[in-house]
Amino acid sequence: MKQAMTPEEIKEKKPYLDWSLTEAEYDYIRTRLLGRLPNYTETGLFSAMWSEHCSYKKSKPVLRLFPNKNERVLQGPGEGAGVVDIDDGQAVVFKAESHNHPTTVEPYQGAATGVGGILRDIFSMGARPIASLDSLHFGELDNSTTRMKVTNTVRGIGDYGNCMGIPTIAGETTFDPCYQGNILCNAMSVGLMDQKDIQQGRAAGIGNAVMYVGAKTGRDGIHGATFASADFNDENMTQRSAVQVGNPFMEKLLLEACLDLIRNHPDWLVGIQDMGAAGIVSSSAEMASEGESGMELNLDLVPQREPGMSAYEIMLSESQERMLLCVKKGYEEDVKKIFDFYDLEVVTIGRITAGHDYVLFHDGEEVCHIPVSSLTDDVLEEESLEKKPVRIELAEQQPAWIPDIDNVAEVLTALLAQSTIADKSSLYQQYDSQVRTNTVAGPGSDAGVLRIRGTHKGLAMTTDGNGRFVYLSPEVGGQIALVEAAANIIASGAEPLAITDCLNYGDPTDPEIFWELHQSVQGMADACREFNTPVISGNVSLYNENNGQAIHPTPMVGMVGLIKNIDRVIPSFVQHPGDKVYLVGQTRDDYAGSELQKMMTGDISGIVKAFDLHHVHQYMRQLLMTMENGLVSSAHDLSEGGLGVALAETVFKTDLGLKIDLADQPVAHLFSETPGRFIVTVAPEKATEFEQALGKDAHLIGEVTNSHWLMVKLANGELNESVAKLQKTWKEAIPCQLKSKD
Amino acid sequence: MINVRIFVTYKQSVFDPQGETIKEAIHSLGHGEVKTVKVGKFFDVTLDTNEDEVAMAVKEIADQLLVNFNMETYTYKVMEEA
Amino acid sequence: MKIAVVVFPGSNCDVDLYEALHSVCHADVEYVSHQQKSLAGFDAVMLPGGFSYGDYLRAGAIARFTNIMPAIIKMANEGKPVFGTCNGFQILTEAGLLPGGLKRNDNQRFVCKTVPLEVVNSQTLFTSHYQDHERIALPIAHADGSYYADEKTLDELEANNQVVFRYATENPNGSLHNIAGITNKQGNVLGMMPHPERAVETILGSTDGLRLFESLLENGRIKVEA
Repeated sequence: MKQAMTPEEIKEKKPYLDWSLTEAEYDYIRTRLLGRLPNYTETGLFSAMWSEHCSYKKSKPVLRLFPNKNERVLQGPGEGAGVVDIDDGQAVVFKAESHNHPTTVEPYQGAATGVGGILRDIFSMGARPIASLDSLHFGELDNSTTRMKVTNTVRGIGDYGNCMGIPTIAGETTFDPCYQGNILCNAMSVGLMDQKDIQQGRAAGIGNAVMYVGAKTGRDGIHGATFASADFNDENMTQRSAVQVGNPFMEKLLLEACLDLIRNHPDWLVGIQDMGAAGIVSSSAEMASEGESGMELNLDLVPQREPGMSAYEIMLSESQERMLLCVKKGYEEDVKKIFDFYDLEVVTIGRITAGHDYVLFHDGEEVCHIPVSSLTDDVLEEESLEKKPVRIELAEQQPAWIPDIDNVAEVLTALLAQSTIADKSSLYQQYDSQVRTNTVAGPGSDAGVLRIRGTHKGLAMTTDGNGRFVYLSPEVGGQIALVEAAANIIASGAEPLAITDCLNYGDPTDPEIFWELHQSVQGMADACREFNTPVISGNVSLYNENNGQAIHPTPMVGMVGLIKNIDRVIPSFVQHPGDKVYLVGQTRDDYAGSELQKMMTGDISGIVKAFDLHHVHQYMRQLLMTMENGLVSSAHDLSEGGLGVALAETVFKTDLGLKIDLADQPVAHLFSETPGRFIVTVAPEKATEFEQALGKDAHLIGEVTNSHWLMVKLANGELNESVAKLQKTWKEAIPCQLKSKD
Repeated sequence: MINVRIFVTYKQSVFDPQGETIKEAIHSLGHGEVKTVKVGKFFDVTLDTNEDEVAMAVKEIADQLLVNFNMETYTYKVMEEA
Repeated sequence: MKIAVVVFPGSNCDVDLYEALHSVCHADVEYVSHQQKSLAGFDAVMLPGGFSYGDYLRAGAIARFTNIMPAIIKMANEGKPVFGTCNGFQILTEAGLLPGGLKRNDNQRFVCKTVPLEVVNSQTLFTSHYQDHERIALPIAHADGSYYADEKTLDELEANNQVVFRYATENPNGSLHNIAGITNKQGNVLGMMPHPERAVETILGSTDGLRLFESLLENGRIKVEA
């Protein structure tokens, strides 16, 4: 097949500029890496592999700030997913990935294939996925476009995850105008395995086979990787062809077959990797790079769904449900028998060669012959300009906003109806949260909790990341993202182990946005070090802008914790009348970026104040210890809406109530959002021991009652509300908004 | 090659909430003249056989697999060659 | 008593069912692939929930053509216990072992939550450890759970006491007559949309499903020894 352009035409016409390869990069490649002009196929491959999504060229300098190791980390970033030791020869494997651009354009398939992609990363490591989580951010629900996108995104996640039989047990959904043109859809998956089965994505051993298994390759998602590395403008909204369509039934078969191969025949397999962004080229080049090998592929052997595909299209296609294997020479037929049992197509498409070249054949001709490293390790990192945003300089000069609260009951009720705070069960009940019968705490709890069958252990998991705080004060906001995740984990009685992350930001060529990225990563990294939760995997999604409007910088922290004794798991809801209620942590005037500020002023403003990270960590550890010692009945961490909302939330779904005394606090403190605080209930006979352990960090504020009322003594009066009434407002807000017809 | 299009819908007596919902959405676009909407599916099947064998083949395929007669019914038509 | 849990391509609650029987009830249970042609040696067969064949065409429509189906039908005809939950119930109706069919939920969405049920018939081999009219709560997790049968069939089901479970305070999917689970005329084949296998351990939230398996194990054993 004739290539679409000659090397000379490429040099003249520069089609690569449309594929997001810069002229400087093209020149570097042709002069320093190849010593000749690249052909059409090669240029296409470079464009994909040198995109931000595949190479992290802009973000690597910043990602280096993260700690990646501790005594439990078995595999850090660089493989399909990160791996952490959880004792007894077992390991937990997890990673999160963003699928923002596809979900914005085609919410159902974008969300579904986001789930599919991250699942493959988990089982490519040899782990069985045991839970899914999703962090979703949409525009406000006041318009039918957003409502449709919410409905379809949730349906997409549900249909894929439910069909796979993997429970979706936690996540977060927020709403803010900044996400109107750029939805964020971050999918996280957690897997469980025995350490002896850990796999890698490497291809090595001259003569070994490169085998392709799964769905046929079509024209799906071509330029998905470069698509994700470019801003949206109205022109791009016609980019529908770049979206992939998922087949969860095929992926379920693929999952079972791969685990069968990995667990029962590890000696046949050298390496395995999923085909995700930039499909065959990224998986094969990365595997060759990791194995320090050369590789030769014959594209005529790649199973194809459409006729007349060019080499470029075959290599860049992002058709879903495909895996690449490196199999020891001589075992190809044995491997085929395994996949035949599951009715899956598997075919040898190439071999490992001597040297370090990456060679492709198509239609009997050699169409690519370049060094492997030119696609992977030789990608030029880019330095980015940074500038502290003017808005932050100005905000630092302004006095902090302090709210004037007249009617606490009205404010609390209104907050409970805010979409970010309101009940999400109409959304998460579309996800099967119980399949595989290991779910101890599902959606609606502070963290999702699974028991590990056959042991006394459990795993807690959460996704968190408040973009408003990061927008106002990136460094402190970054710290808060990590602290909030740790709070959700500890509130469940688990010890934080490590994190994965999705860094969702605007256009990095804007110095103010790059400054946001740098500062927030610094904040997260500091908190990671303090809490000993290294970053073991993750993903960066940049260019989340629409017609020049960027999203709030929204780093998503996905944290997993270990519960050593599942009998000591801590519920998020109060348990017994008579239990004492404590507020753990100090409350200050922290209203900048709060839900209250947004509701009362229509916007967010100010500076998020620095806090004592070390001190917060110390008392959170103490709190965890009291939980492990059986002193705690329930714990709920405070987040959006502060103490007022948390007090209501912790009695919802029970028939109990609370009697609380906050008369010595300013009324507004009820809705302040100081990070690192908890409502903890303790049986009266355990109170003394609990107070001794927490000291000044725990304040006795009241007790649990057996009447379904929220009674709070305030500095300016009393709050006396029926919990059922508050719960009704909270429960109906989202279904009501979704049904709206305007 | 003979091209056959097989249409499968719910039986009259079966509640079709999807059809109802779509009808309401059509009304909200301003088309009150739409009175009913029924949702079904169709299968485009190509058969390498004679015209007089098509009816029997379609009946068997529909009866055994494509149609659940508890709730569904079907019709089909032979399509014009393009 | 030896129980088979059949695994179809795309079944995913096979683990739930197996573990409920094996780890909690200590029953003698084995996974059996859809590719097997025989269930010789087994005294009962269970069809798990999931998405066999991706629910393509209709839920359960393709699974009923698998190699294992004739053996399941044979067991049903021999009067041995046959149980299907969720996708299993769908497969049993598609295979004609139970009357009626399951269509898309009225609200067009997948729904996962725990719902209150009424035990309508505690005289079956699956429900003898419950009381008539007893209220229990079991989890549901399905998108195609709305039971449909024509008037005549519905009348027959009621007249013959074939309705075993009904949705109590709320009907989550639009099932006619609030039907959540039914048996065949003989009473040895039970299909239900709720998941009793998800309610057998306190740590998971509820044990209301345990007595279904206890009834089956006790009555099944009696049948085997008879």
